[in-house]
Amino acid sequence: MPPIFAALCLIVPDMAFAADVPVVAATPWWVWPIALFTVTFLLGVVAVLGGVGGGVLFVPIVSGFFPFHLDFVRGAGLLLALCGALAAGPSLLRSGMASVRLALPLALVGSITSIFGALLGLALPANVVQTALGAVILAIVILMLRTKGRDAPGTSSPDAIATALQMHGVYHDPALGRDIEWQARNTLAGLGTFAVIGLLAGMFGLGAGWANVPALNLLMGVPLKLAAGTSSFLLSVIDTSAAWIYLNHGAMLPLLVVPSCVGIMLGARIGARLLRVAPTQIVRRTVIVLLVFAGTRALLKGLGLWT
Amino acid sequence: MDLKRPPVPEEQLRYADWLDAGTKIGLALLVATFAVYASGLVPPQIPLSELPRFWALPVNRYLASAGLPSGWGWLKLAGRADMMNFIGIAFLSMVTIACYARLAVTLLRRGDTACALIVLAEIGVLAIAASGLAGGAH
Repeated sequence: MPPIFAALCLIVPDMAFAADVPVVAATPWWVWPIALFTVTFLLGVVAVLGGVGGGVLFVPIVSGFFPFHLDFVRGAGLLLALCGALAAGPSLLRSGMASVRLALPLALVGSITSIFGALLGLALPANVVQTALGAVILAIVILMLRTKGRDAPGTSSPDAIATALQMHGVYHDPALGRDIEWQARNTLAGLGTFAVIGLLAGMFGLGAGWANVPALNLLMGVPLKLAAGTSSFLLSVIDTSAAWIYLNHGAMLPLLVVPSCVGIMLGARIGARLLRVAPTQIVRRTVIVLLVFAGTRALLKGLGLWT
Repeated sequence: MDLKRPPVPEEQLRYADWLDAGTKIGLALLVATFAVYASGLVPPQIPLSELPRFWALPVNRYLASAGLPSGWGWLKLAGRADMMNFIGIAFLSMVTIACYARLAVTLLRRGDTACALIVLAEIGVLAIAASGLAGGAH
């Protein structure tokens, strides 16, 4: 089967690619890394244009339509999100669009719970995790539809934790051409939220950028751009602890991990270049449709209704 | 123009430098070892043609069926092309720990004890996850 045709077939559910060993065995091994690279490249483009992390698209789509077991897909999803976050980190940190000081306590809580999430995800039966994954993806869609970021949430009185840890600062916004002062608030609620985010990230192998940004922006009062940049830094820490659990459990398949990481990172670079000219609202709707489709697929596959 | 911009904290800039270098090395290792694996230059532990028999299995059954180790056991087999890939994966997973260690040094030198303690706690958490003590290795 030509690799491009195989790649296109992967998005057609009736081709019975999902964990069907006889069909898979008939397909040469090299088709899969090529197909993964192609699909993740496209996901990388779409993810950047749609304003979501690649992991949130990768895990439901690859677990739904590729032959790999969910354990390996989640491990790859974490590493893929980790690679993206590590690659984006230096420029965000140097430009001041991410704040280490803001992220430190949140990352600590998130990385502890992501370990528990990873252990829980690996201990539970695959159909339970797949069903829960579907439910979480559909919940993310609702969150995306209902949430609108605020560029400047306004200043408010800092809480004791934020004051003690100096979770405030100033960054330069090139688009606005001025410096923006920020001050974290609701730190305790933020810590609780990041505990849940870490748990979900570890359990499902999702990057969790979808949750980091609204938590930082809407709950903790961090300006949207700084929230997006700091989210990337947080991912690099939270996903590291969960990735180690998957790696130590043996749930990393190089044949799945490497083409996916390279594909999504190259796709993200192209996506970033297209960002200025692409019709972002249309792309965002496409991402939502993809997530609804992939989430429904995961839910029904987990429930044994669409195998 | 740049002089008018608010300064980025020194510890953040040092962190970015380490992160940049670590990520580039890690990604280079990831791609290079995969090229060796896919090219067939070095024999793998599991032949690529055999891999489809295993990848649809849950991880515990995959390890048992393929006779592979968990935890850091791959290091003993790192001369095999497939196991070699874990060098890049483990390196990338180590980058954050190294950056945090650098961050701890900067914060301790400055006497920023509260943040330094958080950083040291994070290093402890990541080290436990990496070691397999958190239930990772069988």
